[in-house]
Amino acid sequence: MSARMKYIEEVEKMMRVKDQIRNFGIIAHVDHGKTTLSDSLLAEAGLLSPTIAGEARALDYLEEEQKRGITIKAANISLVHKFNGKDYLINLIDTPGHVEDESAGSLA
Amino acid sequence: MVDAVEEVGVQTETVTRQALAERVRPVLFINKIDRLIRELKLDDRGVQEKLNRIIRDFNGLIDLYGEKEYASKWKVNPAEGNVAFGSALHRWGFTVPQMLDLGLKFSDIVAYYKEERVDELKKLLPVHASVLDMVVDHLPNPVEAQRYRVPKIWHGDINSEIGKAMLECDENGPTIICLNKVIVDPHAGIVSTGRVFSGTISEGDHVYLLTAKKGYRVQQTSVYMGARRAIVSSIPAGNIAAMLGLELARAGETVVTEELKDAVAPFEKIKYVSEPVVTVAIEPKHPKDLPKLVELMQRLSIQDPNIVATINQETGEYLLSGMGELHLEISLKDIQSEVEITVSPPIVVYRETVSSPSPPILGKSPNKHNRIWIMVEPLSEETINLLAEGEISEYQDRDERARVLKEKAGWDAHDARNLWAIDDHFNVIVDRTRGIQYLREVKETIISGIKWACEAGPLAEEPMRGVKVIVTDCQLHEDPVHRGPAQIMPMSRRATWGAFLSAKPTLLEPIYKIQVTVPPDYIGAVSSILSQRRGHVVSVEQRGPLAFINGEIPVRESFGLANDMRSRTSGRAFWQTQFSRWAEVPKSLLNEIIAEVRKRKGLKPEPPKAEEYIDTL
Repeated sequence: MSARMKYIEEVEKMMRVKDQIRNFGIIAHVDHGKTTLSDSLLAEAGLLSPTIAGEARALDYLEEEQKRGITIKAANISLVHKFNGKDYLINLIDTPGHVEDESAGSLA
Repeated sequence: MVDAVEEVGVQTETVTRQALAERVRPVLFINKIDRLIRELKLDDRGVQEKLNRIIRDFNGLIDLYGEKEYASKWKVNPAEGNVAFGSALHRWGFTVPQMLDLGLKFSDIVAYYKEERVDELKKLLPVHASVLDMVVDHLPNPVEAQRYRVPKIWHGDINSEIGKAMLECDENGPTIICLNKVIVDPHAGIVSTGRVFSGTISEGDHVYLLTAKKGYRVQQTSVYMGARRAIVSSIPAGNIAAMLGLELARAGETVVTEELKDAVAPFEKIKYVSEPVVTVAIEPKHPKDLPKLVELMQRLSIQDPNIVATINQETGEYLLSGMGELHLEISLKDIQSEVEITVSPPIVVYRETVSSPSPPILGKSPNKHNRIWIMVEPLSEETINLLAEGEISEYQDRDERARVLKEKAGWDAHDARNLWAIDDHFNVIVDRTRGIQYLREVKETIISGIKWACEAGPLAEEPMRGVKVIVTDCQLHEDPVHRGPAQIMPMSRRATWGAFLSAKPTLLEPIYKIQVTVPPDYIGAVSSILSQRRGHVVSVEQRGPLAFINGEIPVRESFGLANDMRSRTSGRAFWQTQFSRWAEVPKSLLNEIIAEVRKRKGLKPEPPKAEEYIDTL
């Protein structure tokens, strides 16, 4: 069985243990780093290799968004996280952000 | 999540407010600590001062927008571990308890940066572990969360079978799902994703969409893993499900098991504080691409609830409305990758409203056999707020709605009980007639006619907003043949327009909140840019090395702001804009704007006169 299949099987079992489920979304102003953080979370769930996370921006699947680093479209992801010896199923709900924003220049 | 450099801004405020309105419990992650150290050259005390200010401001938002009962419990406190800070880019993060466990101090973090040993920070505690530990430890599981959230986000009977099942997050209860996201997948088609609040959703289930009023068979169920879906046979309550086959699904839709289609109230509509206030007209370079363009525009509006795609029937223009210039620009890239198009300069969206009550105005049907008397008046601010906050809706129980209107907006008892309809732009229709024969049979047609009048008002054919339309009297022909929709619809529309034009009509324009971050030397430049564009500064706050300027600017005057800002602040300004409110257009500009909008729509420059829409006995 492939690693991915195993992973899915694991997730299916965990969907039934409600006190070990957390649903959460990341909300933020457009370029406060929502996508970068989402990628780090994804990387650790074994869905994206850590070396490309941060660059790969797995949550935005539009090339244009990758260029600008802005997430408009939301996706949902499930991942598994160990805490105090127990496995938790974490559903990350990527909420639609509020995108109107313009920014120029540098503070450096 | 808040950027440590830019701190709590208008967009953070908006999204936090929305989450609190849906009773979502917050934890805080403060990002980009690396920039405080590297770019702003802050020492450990400077970093801590910034963090404290962000936490204080964030808790201020919870106080301001949270309900009393929850605000005190939900405030974040670094000592309790519900605030993490770090650098998502450099992949490290800590809460205060996590730091204490590792024996770390703020000065150590600054030292790691100074000594170029950043990689060691992420080995101490990677950001995902920090954040996910915080999520597990401080956020509720779905059973706990639904107990207090369901009564807030769902207005059905909490003691019904489904109400109880939702409170308990019962996977054996009736199925009900609230969709938060719908995308168009090039291979799978419409993918609808949402939270299962009760029951279990499986492939092959027959479900019903309460808003679209349509039933479907679920073709496939899956869970999202990054951009890919993994097929699973069923998904129980408390989880997030992706479903194929629900063609008319949109974000905010309520999906229920088919048996309950007539017995369940939908979830509170997702309320977007922002509105699509900027529009562009699009044309394909090659006429043969038109069908493709229409398809792409439709796809965009399905996927992004803040995009509205419309076709102007009279001018044949294809219009795309979004929240601002940048939002549209990004959305258009999506289209441009597949079709060559020409795009008009951005156009502002307006609303039409009235500033005083009209007398009852008579409208006759084209065959002159039917009569209606309609008056309009401005809808009170209190009522508009009740509508915006979802406290008043069409789906609500009539007695309950009447009670809220009387108690919270001071409506008289008769009007409050006889509210016929509410449209999408905060216009309401009220019946003040008594004992009219045949009224019941044509009521829906009258409502459609009035809604038609409200969708595009007489001033510039922009939607009306905040208008109370009152039907005061009516005479209907006894023979149904003479009171069909072709008679009743135009009559109702005509009288509404006549009343509207007799009630000191005016235009509303959208206003942005703007927050500019600049070095203090440029405060004067920013303030003069804003005032030259009919805007103004509301407050200026100095926070360490930067000034935070809050102000307002009409959307109409915001086009091209980027160039102005760049050249007059030597590129040192950062800013964010966000739709804030509708405001009356200044009298001096009113005629100019009306003429401009009408010309664009192919109408004659002057709006019609009231007399053209008023019939006489």
